[in-house]
Amino acid sequence: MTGREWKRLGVILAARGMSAGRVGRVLGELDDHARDIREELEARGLGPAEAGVMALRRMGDTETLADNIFRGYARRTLWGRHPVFLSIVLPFLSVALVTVAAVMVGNLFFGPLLKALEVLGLGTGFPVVRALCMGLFTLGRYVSTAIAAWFLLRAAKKRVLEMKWAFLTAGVTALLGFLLFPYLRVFPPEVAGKIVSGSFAVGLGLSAAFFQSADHWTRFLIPLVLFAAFYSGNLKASWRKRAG
Amino acid sequence: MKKEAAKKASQNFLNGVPILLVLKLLSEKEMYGYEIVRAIHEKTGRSLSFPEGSIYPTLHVLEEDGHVKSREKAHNGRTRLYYAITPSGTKKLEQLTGEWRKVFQGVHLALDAGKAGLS
Repeated sequence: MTGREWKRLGVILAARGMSAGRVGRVLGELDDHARDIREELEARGLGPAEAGVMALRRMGDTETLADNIFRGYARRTLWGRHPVFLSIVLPFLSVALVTVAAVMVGNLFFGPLLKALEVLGLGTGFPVVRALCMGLFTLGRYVSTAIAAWFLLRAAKKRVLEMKWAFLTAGVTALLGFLLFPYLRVFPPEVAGKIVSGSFAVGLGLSAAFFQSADHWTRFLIPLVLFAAFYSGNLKASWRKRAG
Repeated sequence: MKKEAAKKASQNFLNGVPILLVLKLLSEKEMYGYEIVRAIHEKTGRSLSFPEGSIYPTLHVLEEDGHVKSREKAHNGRTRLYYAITPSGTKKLEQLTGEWRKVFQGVHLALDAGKAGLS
């Protein structure tokens, strides 16, 4: 292939979602591959020009090569073999996991944190403790959405999933972020020796009020912003490919 | 529709074959991409070949899973990426070989039973 065709193949691979580092590696190996074909043909007695033409023909056009490469990655991973199903199911699973993890982290660290604040003479009054709980809960809602989206997008990129499936994953995660309504109630301690009591619930639904809520829109936007950050180079390549 | 289903079944059935063959070849010596493609073509009596370039995703995924490792090596004034099997790859090869032999024996038995039934 000519330098221009290699460059075009690089743009196609990037536009379909491959990371810049991997594009460089794949192009380097394919270039070696083409040289090896040419050298083999020359060793069989073909002239350099003829061997070059034959090698190019065997490598195929850029679109076919890109298809072969992406199909090669897709066949090796479960997500690649069932992209639609897993791009929808994994965000649901991640929400369940993040919820369980949030409860566990809360149980493990929140009690000791309140105890430490009490020892330090800070946050002993119930209004202060409640404000602290609600502040951390608000922060946790955004952080957990970001963690779920980050893990999914990182896995998609690492496993060379096509960008359209990564976008579907981010979209479903964003939608779940919008539709989820985690709910925390904090009230004075019911058990002697405790600093605070509370209950945590998570629901999924749709209400007109959600559209007025900055909280819901923030959780909707976090996965999409992360998608744009993860795939910024790929989105640029996609735009360059379209522009010709 | 039937043709599509058959093609899909065949694809699933053959999905592990490239990995098995690549690991087998790398268990004998370290090799570079084109060398692996040529060796598969030759050692399978030219009955199996891969579309150009499609071997690299297999090698990359095997490397990310820790079954092979790569290193650059100088050759005729240029550097090539050579792949070698790891202990984890050797275990994977044993596992895949066992699975493949089971499938092969099963299919062989079924085909022979079919012949016996016909005669």
